[in-house]
Amino acid sequence: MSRPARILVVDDEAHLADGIRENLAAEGHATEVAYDGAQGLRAAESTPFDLAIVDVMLPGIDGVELCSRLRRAGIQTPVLFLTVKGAPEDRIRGFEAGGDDYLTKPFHLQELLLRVAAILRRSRWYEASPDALEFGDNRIDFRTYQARSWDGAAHSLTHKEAMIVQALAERAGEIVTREEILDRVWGYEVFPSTRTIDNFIVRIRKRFERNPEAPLHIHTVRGVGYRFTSEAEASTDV
Amino acid sequence: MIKRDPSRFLQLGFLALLFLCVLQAAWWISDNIRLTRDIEEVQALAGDSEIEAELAELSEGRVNRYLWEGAFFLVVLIGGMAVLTRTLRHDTELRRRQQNFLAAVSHEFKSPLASMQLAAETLVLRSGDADSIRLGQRILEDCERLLRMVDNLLDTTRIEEGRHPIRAEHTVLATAVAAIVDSFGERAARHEIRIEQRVPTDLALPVDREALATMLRNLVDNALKACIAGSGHRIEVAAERVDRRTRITVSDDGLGFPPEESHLMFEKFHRLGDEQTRRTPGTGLGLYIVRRLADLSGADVTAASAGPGQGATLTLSFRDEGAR
Repeated sequence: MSRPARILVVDDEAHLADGIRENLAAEGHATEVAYDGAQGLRAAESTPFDLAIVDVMLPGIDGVELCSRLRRAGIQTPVLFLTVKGAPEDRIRGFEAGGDDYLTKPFHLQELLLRVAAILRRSRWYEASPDALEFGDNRIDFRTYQARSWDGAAHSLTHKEAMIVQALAERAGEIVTREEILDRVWGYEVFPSTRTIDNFIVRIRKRFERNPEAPLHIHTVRGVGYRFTSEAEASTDV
Repeated sequence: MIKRDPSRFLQLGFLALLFLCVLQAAWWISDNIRLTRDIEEVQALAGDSEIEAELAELSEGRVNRYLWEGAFFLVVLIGGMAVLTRTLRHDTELRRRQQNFLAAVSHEFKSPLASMQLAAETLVLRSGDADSIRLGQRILEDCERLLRMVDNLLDTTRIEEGRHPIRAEHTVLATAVAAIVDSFGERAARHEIRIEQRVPTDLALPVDREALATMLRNLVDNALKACIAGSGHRIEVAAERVDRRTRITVSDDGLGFPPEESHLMFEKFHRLGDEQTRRTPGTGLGLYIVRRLADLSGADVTAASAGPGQGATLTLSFRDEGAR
């Protein structure tokens, strides 16, 4: 059993939503249920939750839109999508909106509980790590997701971007493989490929490296992964 | 790769042909009128006033006839085009509604199924009571069966509408087979059926993963049903490279079928024996889906059996260009 958490379930299928609540309660979690998108959004905005389990097809505001609105409002509650649509493009749409995981209906109860535990574990790892990171005149606040770069520009990071920086920073000086980053940030389900990490790194470098083509802090280790150094260090392999 | 509906091309072709006909009829009318006027002018130059008057009358009659005939043809053709355009629009609207209906069916069937499955799993996991666990498992088994039927119906519709995309990706066969065999593990164990895997770990194919999973799921499901109905106890899923092809075989020691029926095995709605006395559940769509997906994936499917009661072997054979 994982540590108790506050979980919001948003699903218009009352039986399913209640079934999930009962099971999460049996695992020791405090669970609240909303039966439509608007109700779910109000609940997520007014109360801090450790996780939201959201059906994609909802009356009014759909699940993906709900997640987008939460992210736009700066609420970084992890979102696990439930859906009858399991096509790759549906999954990509969910992840692009800031979703953390995806489970296709009908699902197995054990799988749902495992995924919930994995997301909570990742969130707790993130919360337990330092509040801020400073390197090369950059400052990232991991609590507010706000950052100021070397040129004085202010940036808002996504939850995933912040987690990737943290995964690299907690092992500063060491090589962190793409698979390790995926495991840390996305969990056991590898989605969609390790190339995803590369795209995130490009975005992070553009903000915090003086010359993203010749990075001084986030170094590529070709064919393996990345290495972070808080002190500026010329890259030998980019 | 999405396969387009050939009847739609036929309709569009026919519409283009009608359009050409309209142009041709218009040209024919104007050409005949011009020709008649030319003849009229030439004969006027000849100077005989009696013939002239007769010809003028004749030519006037011809012009009128051409106008009436031409107008009639034009009306018919334009009417035909209008009807065809309306049919095409109606067809497009129908397709859109059908897609919405499929999405709705998918949602409407799967949501209550998800709820039933969750309730049954909760019973099995948390009740601690032997009867509840037994009954919960029974509900779960039927939920799985219903879900497979819904998936098969949706897959069939998608394939037949040419809406089943195929995206070839490098796929390790051993991993794909293991995932499918695992998903049947509990059901096989309940019926004391052993599923063995004999797939070399270095065998890989560029194949659509979802299509491969659907094909394997339906082949193993078919073998499992054959074993349950025919008191078989062993299924083997094997893969090998033979004659520059990659072959996946699913063999069982279950029900089997008369060898002369092997060509019918992958036909739509084909089921063994008489409907009233049938021993296996299903709709006759599973193996049909396997054949259609195999066609889309560049593979052949065959079925072989020594006869009723002697098991069967179903083979998926990926052609050379697909093999790695």
